[in-house]
Amino acid sequence: MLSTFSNVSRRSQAKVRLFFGKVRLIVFLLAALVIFSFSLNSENFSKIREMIFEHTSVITKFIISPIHSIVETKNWINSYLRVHDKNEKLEVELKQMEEWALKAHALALENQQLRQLLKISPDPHINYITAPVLGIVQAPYTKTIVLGAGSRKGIKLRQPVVIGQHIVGRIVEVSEKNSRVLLMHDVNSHVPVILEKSKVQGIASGNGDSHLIIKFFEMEAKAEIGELIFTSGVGGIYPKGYVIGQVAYQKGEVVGVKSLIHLNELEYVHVFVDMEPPLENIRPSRDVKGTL
Amino acid sequence: MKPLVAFLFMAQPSIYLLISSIISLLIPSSILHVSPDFSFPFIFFWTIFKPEFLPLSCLLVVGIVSDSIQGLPLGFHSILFLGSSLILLSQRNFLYYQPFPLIWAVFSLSLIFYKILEKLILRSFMEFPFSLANLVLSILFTILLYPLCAKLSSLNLKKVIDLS
Repeated sequence: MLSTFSNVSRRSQAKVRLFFGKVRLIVFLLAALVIFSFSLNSENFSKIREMIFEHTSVITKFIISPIHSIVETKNWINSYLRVHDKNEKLEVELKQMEEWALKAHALALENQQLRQLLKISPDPHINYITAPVLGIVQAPYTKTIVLGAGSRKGIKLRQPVVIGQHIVGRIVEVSEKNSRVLLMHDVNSHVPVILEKSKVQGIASGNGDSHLIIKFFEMEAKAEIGELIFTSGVGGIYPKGYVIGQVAYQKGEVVGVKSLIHLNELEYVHVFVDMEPPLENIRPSRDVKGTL
Repeated sequence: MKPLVAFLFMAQPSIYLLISSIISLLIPSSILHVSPDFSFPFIFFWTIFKPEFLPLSCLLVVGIVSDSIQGLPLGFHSILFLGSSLILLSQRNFLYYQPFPLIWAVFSLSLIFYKILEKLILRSFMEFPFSLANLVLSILFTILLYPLCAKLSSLNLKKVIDLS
């Protein structure tokens, strides 16, 4: 009799425990939903997001650094093994470059004279800072890089990030000491571009793989394989005339572009800190500081 | 020393989850879209066999950390982890005493729902090209990964039960 009572009591205790377990789980799930909703829509949440990002960028650096070291070692060995071939190739390239430099100098002078004749206002001087790359985050749904410089160095949301004459992406998240760059390979990146030869304009965006794809404003636009793609400057986020990549293929209306940046070799990038890109170029719900 | 060892063994499920949720960063981008889901096998195993050792706060925090590292809206992974845990918990009594092949089959079914939920939440805030082939391959690889994760976790579970 006593043991039956004890069994019933134990069973009911287990049921109560299970019930409260489920209640707690639902409370936590609701908390996660609230955080998710605030993270998407609330401006006030950006401070918390910044704070979390500041700390997690240390983890990102810690995870990515071994890969970076492996890639660096592999590149060093390859470069050492091919030093003779590379030297010969570079000598040929140097001669070509010298010719190009002379031509470019002559063209720059001509360009300056023509501008003076037409009274075109000079291009604004773009001020930039150099920021170290802490890690390249290529997750299943996002392609970003984390920089070791943030709002303290003058970095703000939407500022373009370049390396040499190549566009890398734009700033989408800023904390005091760190910032996140949305790579142009990301599916959420949309860069207004222009073709080198035909001057047809379009939008380049990530396709979820290593290539970018271009959607043209004109129907039946044709691109040549190997043709360079530049930023058109439309929209005001990215400066005009920076390289996006080279046409790799065209299948119907879809043009695939291969980026000329070697992401794994990126150590430093330039952020155009003087630029204040307009707000209307990004989705309205995410135009707050500290968020996409 | 002994309490520290005990703590480390008990914290192992949470550590597994943290590592598995950020391990995808180490995968080359060319195979990233067909890579298995490393987190779900651990959530499935520990929710069925010892949910006390994978606390809800851990699911919430690991989800947020993972989102912050990947640059996703905070809470995305927490919803997935907690949502799948809620569904699995309701099946716990049935699954606990079942043979491994049946548990593996249920895992496969749950994984399909988990992946669909993931894509649906993802669609709510970002556009992402959907590829059925990639999704199927990713699910297949995760199904194949489960026995390894289950073996690793069951070894840990024995230690945890002994220590507790």
